[in-house]
Amino acid sequence: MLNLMRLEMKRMNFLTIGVTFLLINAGILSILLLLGIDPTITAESFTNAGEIMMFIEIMAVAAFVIYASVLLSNMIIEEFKSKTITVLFTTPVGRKQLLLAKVIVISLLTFVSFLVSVGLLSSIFSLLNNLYGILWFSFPINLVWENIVHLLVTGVAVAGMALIPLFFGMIKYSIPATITSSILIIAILSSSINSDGTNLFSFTAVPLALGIVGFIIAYLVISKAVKKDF
Amino acid sequence: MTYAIRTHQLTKGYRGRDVVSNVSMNVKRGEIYGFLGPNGAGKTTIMKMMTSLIKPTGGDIEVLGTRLQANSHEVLKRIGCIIEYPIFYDKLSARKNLEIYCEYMGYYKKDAISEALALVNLKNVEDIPVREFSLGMKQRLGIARAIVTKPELLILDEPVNGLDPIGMQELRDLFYKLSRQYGITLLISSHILGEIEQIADTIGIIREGKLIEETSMSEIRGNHTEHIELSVSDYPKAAYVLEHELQAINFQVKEEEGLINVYDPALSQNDIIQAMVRNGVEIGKINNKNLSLEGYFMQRMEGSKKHA
Repeated sequence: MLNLMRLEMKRMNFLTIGVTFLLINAGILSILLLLGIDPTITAESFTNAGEIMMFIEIMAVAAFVIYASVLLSNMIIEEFKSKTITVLFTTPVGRKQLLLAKVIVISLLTFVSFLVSVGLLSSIFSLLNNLYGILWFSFPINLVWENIVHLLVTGVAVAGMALIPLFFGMIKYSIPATITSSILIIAILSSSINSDGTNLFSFTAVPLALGIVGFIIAYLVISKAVKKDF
Repeated sequence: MTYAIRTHQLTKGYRGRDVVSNVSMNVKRGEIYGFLGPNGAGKTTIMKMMTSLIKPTGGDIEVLGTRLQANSHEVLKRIGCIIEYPIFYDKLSARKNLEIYCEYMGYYKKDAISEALALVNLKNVEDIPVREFSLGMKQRLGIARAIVTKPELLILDEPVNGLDPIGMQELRDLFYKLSRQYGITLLISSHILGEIEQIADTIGIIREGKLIEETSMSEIRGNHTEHIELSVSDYPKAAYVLEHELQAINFQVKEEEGLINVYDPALSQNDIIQAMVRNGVEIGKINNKNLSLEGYFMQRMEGSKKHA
């Protein structure tokens, strides 16, 4: 299994993935910096460091769930669509192991990206806030450590959630369906349900439930592909 | 006698209709098995079942001594194949495609890729992305991929499709070499007989999902291909002369065409003419006929249609 995961990773372009990771973080950081422009408007949504932390998390979840759908498209949907998966099916690698390796690689990458990104953004923003006083309240770096359990749980949830688009993408091996569904998931999850800015994501149970749904979907998609005729 | 592939009552049904029904094939080790049948006869379906791409609904398959089951993918390590048409990662180069395949096959011999590409005559194009390849080049690359891991068994579905006549001949020579020099068993399907007639040891003919014949080429050549065609007006008398004077055992009277086909290799045209003249049988014309496998195949097809 580890060998199969290594093979999958060998075929991925880590330069592109690295550049994308940096661009995503730069994008989120610039949104954070915008908060410093007009304190009155910022105050309508953010009044303490915890809310900023939540904001960073939501942005990172959104970015990496959508990015995971791009990876799902490239590594799974596209292989089924162009039938290259059948070539791999004629090698002595079990279908289940083959597909599981792909899913695990994508899930792990999403998990790691999410955690590193949140850690990185919080640290940089905290530093910049201390130096230039972007916000009128402090954003201490140790907030990350205080929230570490919550972050890890969310990370696992995100790793599962990122697999939900497989369900829509595998129906007709459609890349647009995969990516669109990931955006929809994020839209539903992060939209405010009432005026004080609470959204579905702020209840940890919701992303966690979605994460479990994602893992179940991945399992069902794999077992269907194992039985299917190609 | 050991077999590379044996199927027993192999059946595949889709929505209640049998696409392949009760096929019992025997492919001997080391031979070239020509798998013939018109388009849609079920050749690809059978080959897909042999490579575990699809699962039979009935019967069983034994490949290289292993009975295929839901999880028997280990044996695939010893098989090379092209099924339907060769599929590649279009954006990647020819070499990269083979590298990926070798890694999944667990085959790490360094020069194997260059050797395989040289064998199919794909030199100097190995770093070009496959999407720029012509159909013929893709076929060659598909064969290179199938042979790169030096398998014991090659399952090739219409491998010479899309090639020019020179290319076809080259590949036929290659198949022959693989079989005779490396001892690889080849199962080659085709809907054009001429493509494999010259190299096949055994021919299996499939029609509407049923295996209607499985014979060795030498038998077909001996029994059916060469004969003398005789056109006479008084065929009962001619038949009598053939049977009693010339002691011919193997001949066939086609009354409606007024023809007699003599399959006896011991008789020459001259023997027949002299005997007929002696007995006063008038000969309209007499010809040596060399029925190609094509003709034999057509004959078999029509025959089975009449029975159906």
